Amino acid sequence: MNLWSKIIQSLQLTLLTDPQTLQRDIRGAYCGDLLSDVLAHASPGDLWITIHRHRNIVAVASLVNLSGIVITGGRTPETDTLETAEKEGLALFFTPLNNFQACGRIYALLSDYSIM
Amino acid sequence: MQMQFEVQGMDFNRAGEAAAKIKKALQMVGMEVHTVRRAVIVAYEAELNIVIHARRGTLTAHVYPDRVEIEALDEGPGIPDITLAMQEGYSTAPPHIREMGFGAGMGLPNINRCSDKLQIDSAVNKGTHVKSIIFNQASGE
Ligand SMILES: Nc1ncnc2c1ncn2[C@@H]1O[C@H](COP(=O)(O)OP(=O)(O)O)[C@@H](O)[C@H]1O
Ligand SMILES: [Mg+2]
Repeated sequence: MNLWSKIIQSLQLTLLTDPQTLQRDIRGAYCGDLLSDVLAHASPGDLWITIHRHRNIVAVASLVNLSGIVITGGRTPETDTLETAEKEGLALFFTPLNNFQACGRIYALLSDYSIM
Repeated sequence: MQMQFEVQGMDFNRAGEAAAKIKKALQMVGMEVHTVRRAVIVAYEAELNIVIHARRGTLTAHVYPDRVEIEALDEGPGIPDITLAMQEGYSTAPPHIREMGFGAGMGLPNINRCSDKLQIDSAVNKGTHVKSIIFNQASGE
């Protein structure tokens, strides 16, 4: 199994976009709900963990070349968020886990892969 | 090369489109990755400040081999105290904007950090003019 499928399993992710969007490499992860903070501090290739579900998260993620977005707490994206993600070729997921739980799990996984 | 985009106040559906186009253009002409990243942050924060705080405005990018200049010019309430507005955490954004993850008071500090030169002029009840220069360089802050 590659890193994506391990993350999908461990974080209980549901992929909402075309599987083609999984072509980007995961180089790390970042968690944050302030868009300016993510813009300034997330690194290219990071998987972004957030509570937000509006389309502006896709704009931010694309601008700084993130590998995907995980929406937490069982929230699902607004319709135009999903449409924009498909258009940008950006992987979009949701999970029942909250920010803390999702971060803990991905931190452990990325540590195993010596990414963190 | 020069590009100019209209930006509408409170239009969150199109917010970030101008910054995305500027990013694409900078990549097309082969600017350094580090330059593109900094210019994109400046452009997005300046664009969003028009969307959130002003009535309408324009976002302009001037691209030269050695630098990118990002200019945001708007009609709006203006900034009464620019020194205060530059402080991290200072924001006048209303609660419903903050709930979207905007209004953290980090926009102008982000712009400042990513700019090699920055000029902000503002007139209360008229508008704001932000001009940022980003030198084209491979890396290093
Ligand atoms: N274009 C603008 N027009 C009017 N006021 C502005 C503009 N840009 C910034 N401001 C003022 O400066 C404050 C700080 O801006 P910024 O650091 O970008 O934080 P934020 O946008 O999150 O509030 C804003 O809350 C607002 O009061
Ligand atoms: Mg701002």
